[in-house]
Amino acid sequence: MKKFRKILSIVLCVFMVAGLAACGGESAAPASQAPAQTDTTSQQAVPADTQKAETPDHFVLGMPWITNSTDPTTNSIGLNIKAAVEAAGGEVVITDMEMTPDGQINNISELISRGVDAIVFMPLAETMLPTVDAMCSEAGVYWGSMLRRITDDSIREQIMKSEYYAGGCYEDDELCGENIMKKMGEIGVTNVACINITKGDTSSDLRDAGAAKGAAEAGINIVGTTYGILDPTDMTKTIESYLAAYPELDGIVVLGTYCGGALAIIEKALEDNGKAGQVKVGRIDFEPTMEEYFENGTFNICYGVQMPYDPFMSTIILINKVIGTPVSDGPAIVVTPYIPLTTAQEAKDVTQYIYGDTPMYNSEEIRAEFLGFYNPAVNKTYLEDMVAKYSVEDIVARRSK
Amino acid sequence: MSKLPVRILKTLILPVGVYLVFLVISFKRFSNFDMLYTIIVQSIVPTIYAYAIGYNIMSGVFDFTIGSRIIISGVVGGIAAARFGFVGMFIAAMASAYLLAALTGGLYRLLRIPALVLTIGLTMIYEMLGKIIAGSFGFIRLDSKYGFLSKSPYIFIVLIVCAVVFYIFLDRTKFSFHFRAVASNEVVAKNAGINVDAVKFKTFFYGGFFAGVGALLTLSQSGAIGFQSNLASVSSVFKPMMGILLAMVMQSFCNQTIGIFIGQFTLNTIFFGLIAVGMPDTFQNVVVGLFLLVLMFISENSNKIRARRNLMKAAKSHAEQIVDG
Repeated sequence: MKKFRKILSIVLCVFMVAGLAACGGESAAPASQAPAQTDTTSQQAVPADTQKAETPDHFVLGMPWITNSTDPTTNSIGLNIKAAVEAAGGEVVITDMEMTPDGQINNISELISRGVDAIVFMPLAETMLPTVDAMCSEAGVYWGSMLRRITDDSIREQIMKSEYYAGGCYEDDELCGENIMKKMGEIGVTNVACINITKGDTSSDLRDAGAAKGAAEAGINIVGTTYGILDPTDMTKTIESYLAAYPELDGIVVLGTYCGGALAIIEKALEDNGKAGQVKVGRIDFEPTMEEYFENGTFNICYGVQMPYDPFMSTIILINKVIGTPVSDGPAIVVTPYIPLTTAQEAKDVTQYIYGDTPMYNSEEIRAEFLGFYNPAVNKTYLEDMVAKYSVEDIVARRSK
Repeated sequence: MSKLPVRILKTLILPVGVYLVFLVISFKRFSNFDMLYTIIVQSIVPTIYAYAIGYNIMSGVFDFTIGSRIIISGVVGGIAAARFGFVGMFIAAMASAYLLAALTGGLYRLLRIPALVLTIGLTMIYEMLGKIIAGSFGFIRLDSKYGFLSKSPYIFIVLIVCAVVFYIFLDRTKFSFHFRAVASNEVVAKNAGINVDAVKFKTFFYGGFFAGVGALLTLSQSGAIGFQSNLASVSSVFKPMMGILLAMVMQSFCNQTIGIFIGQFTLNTIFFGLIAVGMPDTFQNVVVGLFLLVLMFISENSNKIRARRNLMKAAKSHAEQIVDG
């Protein structure tokens, strides 16, 4: 029996280590190989005068990201970043993203120790950025941010002076919060309950501020906002509590959430209370179930089509810097707009072409339209024009050929 | 027998008192039956979760796997519902809940790793397993025709059945005496001839029944259940745990089976009440935390408070006697 226990202990330990390893990271190449490959690259580098080669030098881009997700948005972001990097002749190393600023600093430290040439990430708090910049500058690693805006003037000033910060994109979360609330006002909503991700997250706070502004302009009363729901039971309870406490409630806006299947849970709670269709629902960020609810007429507005585009464009800015064709003299900041979604057909197209298994742009398109190495016209203004032209129709036209 | 009305009164003081506070603060919103009914219904699922971890916590074994086990059972049940209907869902969810409970309890018994370490490690593994089973979207939706368990009167029947089962194992079996002995003093229980390992295994295994029911109710009530990662499933342990703590505070006058429900009802009343009065979300956590701390403080120090009050009374009467004299 004792021997059996020992064997079982060893087996369990192996499984636990395997499980932790699975949680701990996923790499396009094995972790241990990443630095070695970078070294090889530097050994193989050919003098510039003989090169002006057909392809840029090989590079490794590190990225803290959610590796164990089956969420289409999360996966689409990873997929499009990988496509951009590989089109430029690089490779991606992904480490499992920690969900706290301190944890993210550990992510950055880990990637630097793995020998990456560049890092792109979604900062959970801007207060961590000076530390990240110091770490990257010391290691000679270029870095870029995505999906988050630097709101603090002193931090932004400091970061914008950095030699190693390439820049990045952010969504105008405040404007989006404002717009979705105005749209709710346009369809007759007067009393709304909000769901949001945790307080303190830059994006969450900005969406809150925008929603308050939009609600004031549209004459909407926000009866309350509940933050940080992860569990389906808590989501149901929260919606039920709003419905019970505010019989006059006629709108629910999800400003953000990490609860899986949130929209389906909200729709179920409304249906159980005989309020489906009566209480209008809006959501920032896309969910694959939206097509069905648009069709039923129980879901009304989504802003979230740009989610994979922002990280893609942030990576493009970083790649251009790494391969020696920076899009501007200093860091380049580009604002990506939230694109509204209001019909079932649009939701279907987005599911298939933007959140599908194929990147939005193929390698030829990325090289020809986004990389300065191949297209000398690429600069910050050019990329801003590309952002302005981005639409569901454009991606559908490209990928449905 | 004459003590029964007093015990009922004492039991009702907490939930009724908390409800009355919010009734006074927000009469318009708390004076309708819908509010009371919703609070009661919304207290049922956390009560079942609390039953699932109740035997563990009461015997001093912290089990963090319960959230991930419920997710797996719900996901398996949801998949089975699509193929085999309600019966398939029921069997699949219950079978997977029992299997995972037996696995967790079995490993705890065999490996002798502290429960905290083992269950955190297992939670990571179960979360990954849940992800794999949940498939491409990361969550499973249930056809609403199979979700009737969360509706009245079925949800109340489920609660009553679960409460009876929990009560029987808690108070009316050989296991209940053994598990109380282990909870009280493991070494003494072992010396008394109780198979401590077997008792601890049973705390997991018997809880498996409620994990299965909890999964079915979650799936029925929310219409969807999805995988969670990075130990996020652990958060689902804490609110049921608070209900158990309240039940332990009330155990001198209220059976813990009922006490757990009363505890969940009280916590939900606070949650609903703070939403109804428009308190910020962050303030809700502060209030719930403070409420629990105050209650635990009073419970843990009630004897000291009573002794101090008696002492003051005695001193006062002694002083009066001196003055009169």
